[in-house]
Amino acid sequence: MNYCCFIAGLVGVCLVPLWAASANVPSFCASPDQATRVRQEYLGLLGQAPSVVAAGLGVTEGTVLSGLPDGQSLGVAPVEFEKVWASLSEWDNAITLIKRDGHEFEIVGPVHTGRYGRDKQRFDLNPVGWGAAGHIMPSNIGAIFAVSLPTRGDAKAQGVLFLNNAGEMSFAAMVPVVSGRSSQTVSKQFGDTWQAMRTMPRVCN
Amino acid sequence: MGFGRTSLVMTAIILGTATGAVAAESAVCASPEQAKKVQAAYQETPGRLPFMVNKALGMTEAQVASALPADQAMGVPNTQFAQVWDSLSKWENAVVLILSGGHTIEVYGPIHKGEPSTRTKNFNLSPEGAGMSGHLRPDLVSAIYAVTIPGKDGAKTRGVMFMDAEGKSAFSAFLPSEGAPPTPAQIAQFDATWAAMKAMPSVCAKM
Repeated sequence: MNYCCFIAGLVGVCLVPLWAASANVPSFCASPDQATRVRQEYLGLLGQAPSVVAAGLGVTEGTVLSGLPDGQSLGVAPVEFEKVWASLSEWDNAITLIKRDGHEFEIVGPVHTGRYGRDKQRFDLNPVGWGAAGHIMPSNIGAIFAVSLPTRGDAKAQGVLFLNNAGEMSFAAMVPVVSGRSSQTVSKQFGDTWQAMRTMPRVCN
Repeated sequence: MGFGRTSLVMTAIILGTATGAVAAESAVCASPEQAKKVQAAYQETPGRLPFMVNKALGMTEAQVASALPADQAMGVPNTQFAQVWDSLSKWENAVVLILSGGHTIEVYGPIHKGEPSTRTKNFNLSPEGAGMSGHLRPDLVSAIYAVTIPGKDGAKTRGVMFMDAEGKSAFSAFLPSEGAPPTPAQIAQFDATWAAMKAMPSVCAKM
């Protein structure tokens, strides 16, 4: 092998992983400029939902979530869905939020365990007791973000958001808030989910 | 057979997804020609909810519902949203089905009371206890259909469907029928909703 081939080979070795990585990065991931704007915007909008900030900036929720500082947001690839869901089903309780066009649904109850159906496409939730059951299509999920956003005082809005492929929230499991404070037990369980997600591949660079 | 939880949801997954090809202009009310198609389809295979039929007919769910016999479906405009919801909140229990982004979410429990926001277009549901709460947008509902559709064995599927601007069901409340048929009390609660809606203006002109 001559030097040309050696250099070409090195370039190939270096570029292929970069190309592969960028090919998998969703278009809604915040650019450095967008991340700066998101962080500036949040300074004046403490405790606001990402959807509110996204609307104000004219970007997707995925852009806002991926633009937040480390410690406030952690986004993982949708291939991690099953592991994330297993962790959520360890929570004692949750508020499941679902968006359908302009409608917003809130369901109080545990996150039910689930498993893939025979077609390996649908993820079927066990319909036991209160809370949200049904069937999730992981292929329609573009990213999973855990958020821990400061609100007033030392309170935090904590939860795990499931975004569609366009970067908008489809549904979320939030830590219940009682009298302005997060449930301590569930907040600790959220911490376990956060730690589990930290070990997973990130969805945005 | 009635539509239990599994059959209802499985069929929703298979058939109840977007029907973008259907024109939005007359998304809610069937034309006389469309109505004939619906009636022929139901004569051949009765007992199906609109979302199980509409794709094959190239119509929206709302159009299918609008063409069902008067004793099987009844549609009212979104101006009646608050009154319909008030009636639903008197049901002892319900299965709420939300079809969103390919996901099918079921919620079991009572339907919470609600009232219009004084500041926004939201209809806010009481956040007390188990079941579904949240913020609904009556202005984004194009029609509300009560259905009571008999199956082959005579058992009925009873529910109220809230259609979006494209004539798709955004969310629906059904009487639970998984495992056991609804109780006489639950049927009476549905019948009260039916009677209330019968007294409201119709969303489509009578054919």
